[in-house]
Amino acid sequence: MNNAPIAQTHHQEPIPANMTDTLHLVKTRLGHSTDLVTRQMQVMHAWPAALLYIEGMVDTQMLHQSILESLMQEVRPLPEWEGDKSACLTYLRNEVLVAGDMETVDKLSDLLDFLLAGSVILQLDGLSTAIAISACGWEDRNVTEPQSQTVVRGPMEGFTENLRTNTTLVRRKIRSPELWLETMPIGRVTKTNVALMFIHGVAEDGIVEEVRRRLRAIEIDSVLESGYLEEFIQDTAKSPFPTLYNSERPDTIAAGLLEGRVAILVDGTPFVLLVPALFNHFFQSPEDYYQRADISTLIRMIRYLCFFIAMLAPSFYIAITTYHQEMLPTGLLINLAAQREGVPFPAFIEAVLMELTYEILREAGVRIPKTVGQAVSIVGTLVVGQAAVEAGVVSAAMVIIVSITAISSYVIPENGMSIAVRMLRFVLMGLAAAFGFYGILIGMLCILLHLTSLRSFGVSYMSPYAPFQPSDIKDTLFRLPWTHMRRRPLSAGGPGKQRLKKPPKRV
Amino acid sequence: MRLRVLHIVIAGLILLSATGCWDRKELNELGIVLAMAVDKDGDKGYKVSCQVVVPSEVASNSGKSTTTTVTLVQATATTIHEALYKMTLSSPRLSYMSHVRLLVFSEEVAREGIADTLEALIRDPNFRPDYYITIARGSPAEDILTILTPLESIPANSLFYSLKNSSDSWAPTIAAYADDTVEKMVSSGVEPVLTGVRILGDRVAGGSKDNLTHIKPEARLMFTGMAVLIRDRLIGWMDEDESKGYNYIAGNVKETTGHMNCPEGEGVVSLVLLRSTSKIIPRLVNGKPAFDVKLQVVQTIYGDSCETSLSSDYAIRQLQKISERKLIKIMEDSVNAAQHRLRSDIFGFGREFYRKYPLHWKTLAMNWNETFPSVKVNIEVEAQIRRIGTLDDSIIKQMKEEMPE
Repeated sequence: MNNAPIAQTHHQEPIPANMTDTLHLVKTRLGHSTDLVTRQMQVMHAWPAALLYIEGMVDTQMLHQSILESLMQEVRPLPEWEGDKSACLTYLRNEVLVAGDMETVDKLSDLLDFLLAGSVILQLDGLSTAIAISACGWEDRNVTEPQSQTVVRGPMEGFTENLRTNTTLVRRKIRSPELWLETMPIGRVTKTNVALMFIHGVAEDGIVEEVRRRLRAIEIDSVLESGYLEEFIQDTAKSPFPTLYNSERPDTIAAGLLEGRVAILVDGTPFVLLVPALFNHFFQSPEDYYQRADISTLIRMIRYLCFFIAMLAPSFYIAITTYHQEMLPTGLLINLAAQREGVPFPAFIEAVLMELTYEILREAGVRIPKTVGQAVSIVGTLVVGQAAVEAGVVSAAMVIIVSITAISSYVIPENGMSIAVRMLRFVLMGLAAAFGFYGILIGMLCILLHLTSLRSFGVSYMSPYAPFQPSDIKDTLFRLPWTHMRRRPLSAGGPGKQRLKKPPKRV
Repeated sequence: MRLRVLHIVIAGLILLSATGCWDRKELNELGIVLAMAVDKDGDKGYKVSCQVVVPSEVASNSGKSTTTTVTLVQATATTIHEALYKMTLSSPRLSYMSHVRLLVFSEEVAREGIADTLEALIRDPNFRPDYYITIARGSPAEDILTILTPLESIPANSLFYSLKNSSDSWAPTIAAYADDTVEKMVSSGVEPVLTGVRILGDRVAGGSKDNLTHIKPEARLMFTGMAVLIRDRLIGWMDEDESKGYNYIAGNVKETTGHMNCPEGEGVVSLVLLRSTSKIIPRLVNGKPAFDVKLQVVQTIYGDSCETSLSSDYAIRQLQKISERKLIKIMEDSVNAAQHRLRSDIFGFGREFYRKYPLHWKTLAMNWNETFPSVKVNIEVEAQIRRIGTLDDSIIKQMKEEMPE
């Protein structure tokens, strides 16, 4: 806030007419950064001019072939141009330069903005306006298979770090004039481009406006990943549950847009945000729609089951073995009791110990250099599994519980939800250790109440379950065949337009 | 706001430390009791014995086993619960009673009455009333719990499943749950029955692991006979056929096997009973109660050493007739024993009568035990033979026809 007045003055500062002054000024402002290339030349062999660009931000081929080559032509200037530099500039713009996007700038701050965004700046000596020729081109990662959300069947392309590539990937899937795109820079220092994508007429205007409003309200110096925005625009920070969906799959985002949701793309990250995000969305995988409906339904149910296993398995084990032994069949009770013979810790400590060990292994697995990964994973497996049991520090049943818990948490397709589950697991374990099933029940009730109170961009988080929306149940715990899902879901916020116009005729 | 969070945190901590964990018991702190025996120890009160599992022996994967799978913990005290808690004097673990599967009374205790014991056990929420009750015959109850059994490494389980299976597929036992028994004890017009259990063989050798090293164990446990009670006191025993008759009338027979004589000549036909349904129909004859017992059974022939043919409808009907007469005989014997020898209405005739003639019952209820021996019971059986197995005429018949002696 303190440098707002300074920014104001910068904003007003015009470009000096003298080209040498401009060069000096720009260099000073950039702290004589060495990647700034300045080139003085005689445009059309007649007019002295300066060319500025940042090395690496500019497509060199384009610079050479389209800009430099055209500027170096030898054209005899017409006599009426003598002294009228702005006419020259117009001539250059309109008839000489071979480039798509060009802007005329007359403020120094604008000049810097364009320069740093990858434009080539051309200033004719003696003129206080310059041309910013868009020639951005830098080294980019190719479109590759997404790492975080893989499918067996379905598109294998994922978003990249380049915003333009990402918007293209979506637009290629939805070739409709109703697919609208808005871009705004966010971040005082980074000036990161953030794009808002939605299908006009499908997305509810109120939600689009709300997203716009929240994005505009962001006051931050930098946006390096969509996670930065997520924390600013989410409905509440006081929840372990994610209220924004993120994906690096263009097909997921396209499907979301078609349901009437709004995508937020951030330059520099392959993770695109999708709002509103409801509880139900985190259990949907794009593959559900590519496979047959019956198997998708089965898998959806397994995902919900895994949500509960991942959250409750250790706490159930603790509660049953320390409070509710009478609930076990006699044979199982004796078996578990035999395993616990000689285990020095209470079941709760044992469970916390193992869960923590697992979380450590997991975190290490993510951070570890690939070359040593295998060695560490072997040690980890042996430590957690065999050795711990054989040494009698933990019981074998606990290892089974921890394993099934860990594996279940990866069945949930979106990472944000499984993180929530992993955190709540420890709370529930504590409740189970102190109060048994009673504690688990209280904990679950609290979670349920919390979930129903959540909202994502004005939409109830638990819809279509609560408030119950019968027509939307078709794509929740079940995935009905497309012929049955003739309308767009209402709970996503869209106006519920027809997906299929008529019931398809049977052939 | 910050204060509110602090309040919630403090409340949570108080909750955790004040009310949490009060009944926490780790699995390895429990002495899991699977069977309990109640004896009388003179004037000192009850001698309670608990068969406690040694989990590491039962679920042992290590291979080496040095101790027995179960151990016996005993204590003597005036009441059952005093004895149960007194056991900690000699056992490191508190008895965990939720998984008790079998309760054995000595005959002595049973003759004096089991009501006070059952009352204490049913009242205690730590007991689940789904254990079977049996009465030890010919030995103290505690001895029953000292016999090691093959196949089921836990003797209590061995007894539990043996009783369950025998009552399901071999009629003359009754798997009497504690709650059912108590219900029969307290309701008028029906008396409880229990199954007896007996040690066969060398009782001392049975408690050693060596017992399991023989193909034919030196000591075995066997269910035998039905104990007939009046209210909570043991009155006497029924033999196998009488017990079977009881189960037919009471509708407890799920499946059983029996035999009958051939229509003519020597030999027997063995029959497997597939289904049976029984019905007790009370009547009033001249102001006096009388009962019709109707039994329907579906049978199949599993063995036939008769010389008569099975291939005709007539032959099958003849066999059905014989079967009916045999079943009537079994049931009549059972009713006779109950009416005259034991004088206990174990079939629940009184209860059936009450259900049909509630007003009339009031006059009878007070001295039903005196009235019961003289009521008339009429038994009808409808026996069906549905299948004759995979053979037609008996092999014996065919042999005799081919090679007349």
